[in-house]
Amino acid sequence: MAKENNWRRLDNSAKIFPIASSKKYSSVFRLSAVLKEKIAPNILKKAVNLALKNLSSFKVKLKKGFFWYYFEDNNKEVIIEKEKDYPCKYIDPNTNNDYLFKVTYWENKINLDIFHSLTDGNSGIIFLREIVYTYIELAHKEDFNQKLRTERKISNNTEDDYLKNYDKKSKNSKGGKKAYRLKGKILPLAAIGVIHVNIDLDELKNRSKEKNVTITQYLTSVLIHAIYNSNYKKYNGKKPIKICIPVDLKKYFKSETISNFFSYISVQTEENLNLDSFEEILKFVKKEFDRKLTKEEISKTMSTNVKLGNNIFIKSIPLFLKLIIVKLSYIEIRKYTTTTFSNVGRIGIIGEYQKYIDKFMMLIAPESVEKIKCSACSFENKLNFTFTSTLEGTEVEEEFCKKLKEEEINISVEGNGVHDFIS
Amino acid sequence: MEYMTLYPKVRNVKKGNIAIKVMLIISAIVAITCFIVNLCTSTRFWWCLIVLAGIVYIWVAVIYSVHRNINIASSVLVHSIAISLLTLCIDFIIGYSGWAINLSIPIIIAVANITILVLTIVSIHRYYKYAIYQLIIFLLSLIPLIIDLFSNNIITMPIFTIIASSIAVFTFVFSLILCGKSIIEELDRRLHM
Repeated sequence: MAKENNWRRLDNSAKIFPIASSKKYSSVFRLSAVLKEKIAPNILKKAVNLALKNLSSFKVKLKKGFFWYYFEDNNKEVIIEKEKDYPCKYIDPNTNNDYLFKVTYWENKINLDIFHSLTDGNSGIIFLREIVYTYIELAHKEDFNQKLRTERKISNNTEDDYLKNYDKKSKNSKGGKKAYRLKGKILPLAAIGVIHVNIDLDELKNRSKEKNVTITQYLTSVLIHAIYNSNYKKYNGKKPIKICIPVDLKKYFKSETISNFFSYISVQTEENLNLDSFEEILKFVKKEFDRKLTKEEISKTMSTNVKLGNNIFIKSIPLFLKLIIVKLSYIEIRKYTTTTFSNVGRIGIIGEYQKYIDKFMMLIAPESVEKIKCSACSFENKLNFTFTSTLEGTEVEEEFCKKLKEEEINISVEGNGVHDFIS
Repeated sequence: MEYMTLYPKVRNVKKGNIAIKVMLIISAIVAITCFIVNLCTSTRFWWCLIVLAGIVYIWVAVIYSVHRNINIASSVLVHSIAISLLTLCIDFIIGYSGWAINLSIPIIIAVANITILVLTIVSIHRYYKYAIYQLIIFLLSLIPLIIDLFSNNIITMPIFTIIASSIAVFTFVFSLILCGKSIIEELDRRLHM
């Protein structure tokens, strides 16, 4: 057995998740790949083990230090199970051989639930893609040769690129107002409702181009419009609607890390904005993106967070006190966001493998404050926009779909049936 | 809306261990019954508190054991602390005579340190897993000796404390010689800022 005592520090973003997380706030996101064939669990297990040989940074467990958590090598067997619970649930290391990710399967679908301390969505895709590539190779040995496999170069660099790239002298970014929180009856028994909206990518691109906005800007506008019309108006909302958009920092800084390397921008509606007009929302969202999605502004937000994590006073607080302080303050911090919308973009797949894959999906865990979370990813000519929700009602999702149809964009809807069974 | 079979139908059954629930009820019944019997028979000697302390100890042991993948050295640490506190409680309840601090706690300290020593010897390659717990057990083992040095009244028979502390020092020095590098590495990772 390999020696099991290599360890590494958590990156700057990763530090917060184990401290703030609980069964109610899991900090887990899910990446799923739907293949065109039924998943064979024995092949999947082999594929995961082979993928982990290339991406050993995922083969870790979380350990408690006196001041911070840290990762230590994990040589236990990876557990592969049939999907039986709601997505993005808290990953209990005690029942998962200490692993911080969970691989499950259902019919044609491979799910990879990842605890955010391990990595972000973009690097998570690298892991899922490696599992999928290896699965396809093992399941269709006759179509693949060794060459394809060995040619794939995967970075296993776990460097904390926040520390490498943050600006010590940058001014701290300002915090905004508290945000409008979605209201409505909560689903019973900690259920999570999932609704996937499959959007025709060409039509979405054309419509965005016509409006002179990017796809993310367009979808953010549709989301604000849907929240305003379905929830905000109904409950006479007063606070601004605030959408948190995670940003992949690898687009702005040179980085090969497989660890977390993301920041975020916030799009916050203003009092004078006419939320009844979709065109006005589009213009406003574009202006906000143009203003905030610059290297300078992103660096400012990133540097504020890194400086906080590097503050000698915060560093020297023992972990058991950090757990109490952060758990209390994190509830408050989350009140500054209405919802999160994460678009990881196009998932690139090598040509030979594409014919075996139907689609990819990304899901983020909703929680008591952000009752709905949204995510998107695209593959071939489909963009999969996903709502994960703890709300019983589906008004926001329905309004979102209605708007896309009004805009003459072709969509189809799938889900996990939670809302279906209740209504 | 049209749904495909992308997800299984989740059975909304509230999870919970029935055995734990039954044990909780039994614990409560035993504690209440003992309290009532104690109250009805004699209030001079609150023996029901011994039962209560025992129940608390059992629960500490159960809750700790329910978690899987527990490091055996951490188990030694938790049980040593819990049994020491239990014996102290019993000593106080039955009218303090000092047997807990004079005799039972030194025995517990000696047993805990010897257990860690055995663990070190039989699985020296996994010692890094035990290092931090041995360090904590070692530091806690010195508490009775420190009490004895600074107060003459609390420990009336210091011989057992001296023997236990000597065993603690010996096992720690032995481990230090055997696995000093592991201890330094473990401290580095556990105390990193």
